[in-house]
Amino acid sequence: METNETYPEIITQTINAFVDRIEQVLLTRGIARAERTSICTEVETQIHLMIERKVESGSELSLELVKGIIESMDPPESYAAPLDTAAIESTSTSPSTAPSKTPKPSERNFGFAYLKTFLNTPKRTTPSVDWMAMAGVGAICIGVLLFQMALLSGRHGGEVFAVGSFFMIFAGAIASIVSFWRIRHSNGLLTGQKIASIGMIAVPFFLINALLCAFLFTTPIGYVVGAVLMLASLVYGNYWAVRKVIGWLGTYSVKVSNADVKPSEVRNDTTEVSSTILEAGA
Amino acid sequence: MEDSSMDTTWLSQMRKGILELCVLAVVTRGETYGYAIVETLGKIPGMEVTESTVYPLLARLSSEGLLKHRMAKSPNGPARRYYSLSAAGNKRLNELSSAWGTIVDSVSSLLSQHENSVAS
Repeated sequence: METNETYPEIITQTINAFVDRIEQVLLTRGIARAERTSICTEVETQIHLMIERKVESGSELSLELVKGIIESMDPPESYAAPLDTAAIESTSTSPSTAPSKTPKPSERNFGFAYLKTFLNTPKRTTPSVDWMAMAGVGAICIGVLLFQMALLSGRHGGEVFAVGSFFMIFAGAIASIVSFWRIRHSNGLLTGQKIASIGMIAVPFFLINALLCAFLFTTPIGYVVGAVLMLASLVYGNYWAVRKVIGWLGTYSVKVSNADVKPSEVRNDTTEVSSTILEAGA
Repeated sequence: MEDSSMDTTWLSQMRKGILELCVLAVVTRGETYGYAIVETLGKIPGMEVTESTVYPLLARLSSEGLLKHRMAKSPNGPARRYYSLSAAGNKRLNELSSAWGTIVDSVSSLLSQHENSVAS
């Protein structure tokens, strides 16, 4: 969005920055370009109208004036709520008491802020595969490779590889779980949910087998116990995978059935209007 | 109407239900632009909506064909959008108005019965 060139550059930049932040929020929500443009144009028009009124009432055009106007408006974050409900929720509290700024990193608990850096959706405009999903599966693959090396190595070398396998698979599992969460909350900007799922599902199977390699495969009885546990983990892994697939199918069918319902049909269930407005309209 | 004296969720849901009709009703009074709609609705007791509610709704109503708009040059800033009701929007307004009238009558009747029983 571009503002009028007659304003000083710094004012133009301030307005553009505010409108761009709103557009970014709308983009993150997956709003279509035409609607984004419409909303941003309206916001920009409102800013200019408010500036005009202030100037006409005797105020001098300045950066402080523009900043004051912008601060009096809804913050960009308020456009993150679903359409039609954004500021309805915020007007439940007075504008003066509603939070208008995201807490600064320094105000947050350090550990939580650190975790949030991984959980937050990256600022990007086009969908892409989550790197953490790739890293998770990659770590698990390395863990499997180490597992194979443990089987082929001598007694002491095998244990070292087995321990390495355990940690790689553990790290891969954590990365896959975090990635799955990120993708689910990214509004479509992150992809690779299936890759992350593979990383999650592979965990019980390979984790148990890595432990078997480390502690059981060095004795004859260990082979028997290991085989039984491997079979159990295989059964469990398959059971989990089947349940996961059934769950996805259920979620998908619900989404499809919801998509068939038009928003206007939903709104018809709550058709109410202020009599003041109706009288004005009549 | 003070929000603090009642269930804010209930109030929010009620506002959500009536907002589209309120916007259509404002636009049917004559061609107008976004900020004017925000100001009009913002002055109505109980509604108190702001721009982050109204502009997304205007965009959606336009994309659904209920509102039509024309661009007009502005002395400052971007070209201004002037909204007016389309035929589909007019039909929609009539439907919603009718439903609203029915609801108001029914609820008023219930409330008057309650007041009578309290008085007696």
